[in-house]
Amino acid sequence: MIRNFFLADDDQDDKELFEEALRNIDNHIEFHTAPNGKELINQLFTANVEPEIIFLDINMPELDGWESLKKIQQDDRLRTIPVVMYSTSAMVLDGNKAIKAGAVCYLEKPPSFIKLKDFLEKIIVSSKDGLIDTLKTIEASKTHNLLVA
Amino acid sequence: MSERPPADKLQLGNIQPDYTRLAEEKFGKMISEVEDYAIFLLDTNGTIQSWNKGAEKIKGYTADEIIGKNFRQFYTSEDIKNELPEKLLKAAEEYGKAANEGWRQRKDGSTFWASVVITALHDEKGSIIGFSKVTRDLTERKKYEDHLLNSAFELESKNHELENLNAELSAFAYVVSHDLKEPIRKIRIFAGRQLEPDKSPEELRLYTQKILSSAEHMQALMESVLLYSRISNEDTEQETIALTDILDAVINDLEITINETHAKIVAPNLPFIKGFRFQLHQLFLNLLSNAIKFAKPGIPPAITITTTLLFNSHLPAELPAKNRPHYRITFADNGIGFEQDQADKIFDVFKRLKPKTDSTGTGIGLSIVKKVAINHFGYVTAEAQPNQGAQFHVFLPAMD
Repeated sequence: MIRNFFLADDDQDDKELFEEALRNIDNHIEFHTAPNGKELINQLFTANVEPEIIFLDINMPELDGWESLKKIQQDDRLRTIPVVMYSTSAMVLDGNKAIKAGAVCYLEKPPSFIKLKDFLEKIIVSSKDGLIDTLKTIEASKTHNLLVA
Repeated sequence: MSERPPADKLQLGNIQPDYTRLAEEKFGKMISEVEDYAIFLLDTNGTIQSWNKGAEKIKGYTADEIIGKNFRQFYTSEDIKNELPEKLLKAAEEYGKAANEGWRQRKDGSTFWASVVITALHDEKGSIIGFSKVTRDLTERKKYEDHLLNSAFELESKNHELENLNAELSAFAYVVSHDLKEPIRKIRIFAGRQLEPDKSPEELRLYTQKILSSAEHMQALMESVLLYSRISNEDTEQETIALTDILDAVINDLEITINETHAKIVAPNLPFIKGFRFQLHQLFLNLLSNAIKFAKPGIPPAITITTTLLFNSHLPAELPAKNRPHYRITFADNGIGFEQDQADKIFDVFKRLKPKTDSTGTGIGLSIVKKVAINHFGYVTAEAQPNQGAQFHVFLPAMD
């Protein structure tokens, strides 16, 4: 079970939707957010935050998704946390770049609340070790614009 | 038979003919008849002693007019001031000969591109008795070379322009794939949520508001893309523009905002420049509205625009003609500023340094500023500290 989520995103609507989806699934899931990469990195290094999965928006002020991912990959402890690149831009455009940079997958932000909830539900029930397999199953089902490493 | 010269006379003529003298005579004739080269003799002071057809043709003087005068008068006043004729003679004296290319003056005052070789002439003891000077008119070649050089320069600047356009096009593709998609995705999400069962009227109202503001944002984005694409040098002529006129027009546009925020704008000695009015208007408009928008809460914006004329070493490397003098027009404000490491990104299309708070901000303003600067063969840089205000330096070529 994956029960500790972190979302770095400067879009208030997306943050609220994400949180509502998680609460709808299970009210006890831990959820942390940051409005930009800089604050994400700060929280990961200084606060007692140990997410089991990180969702990273790409276009953020201060430190964007790419730079944040690089910083995460440079740290031995943080590198073990799976990162989902989570953005509006087309999968064909930024998908491969995300995988190359070390993300476990690239997920285009879903166009409906139901789809978002569906994706998160599947992640939550997955075991930590089985995450990649879960993602691969979702990718194969073609229900989401998803590219897995 | 009687016309035959008497034998004794023939005998006389048969004395060894002076071949050397004959050859010298022929040689002299040859030189005087040559038309493609001006060939003549100078004494040690540079006084002209002989003249040939070529010299007459190239320089326009007849032998009578010029022999006895100093060869200095073929040079431009600039070269005379720099003592070029004297320097050439001195070099020929020292090294045996001196070669030089440059503009020279004809009798009628017109100029031609001359290729000159001055050779020192020595007597048997080795002391200098004068100089020979051979001049060719290479104006046509010079024109051709200059033309080639200009074409190369033109090609390079066209190339530069194309590279910029290409980068713009990729930026545009990204904009379409990302920024324009975002409000559409939001509209789909919130319209979908309105269809979910068991939603309260308050929730439904909230979703409707979200849909409206996404649509508004979409419209603002599309308008800024259109505006950005209109920042182009095509179909418009450069004119001489007083930047104070531009500033006045922009202040007029921003009147309501300026009154509401109590903004103060000071701009002493704005220069005249060659440029495109619509574009410069956009440059001033975006820099000023940005400075007002990012004011510190509760503190009225104060903006100072100062102009400095700068040369070579003080100019940024990105300028296409760094050897020309440029104005640096600095827009300094007392606003919230930003981290210096964001200073380059700030000019990217649709890049926003601050969190999205209102739906009308699109992040295109400063990319318009940069595009205008580049279209004017200028550049723009930014300097700031968080909470210490920002400074935008616009570099524009000064008029000749």
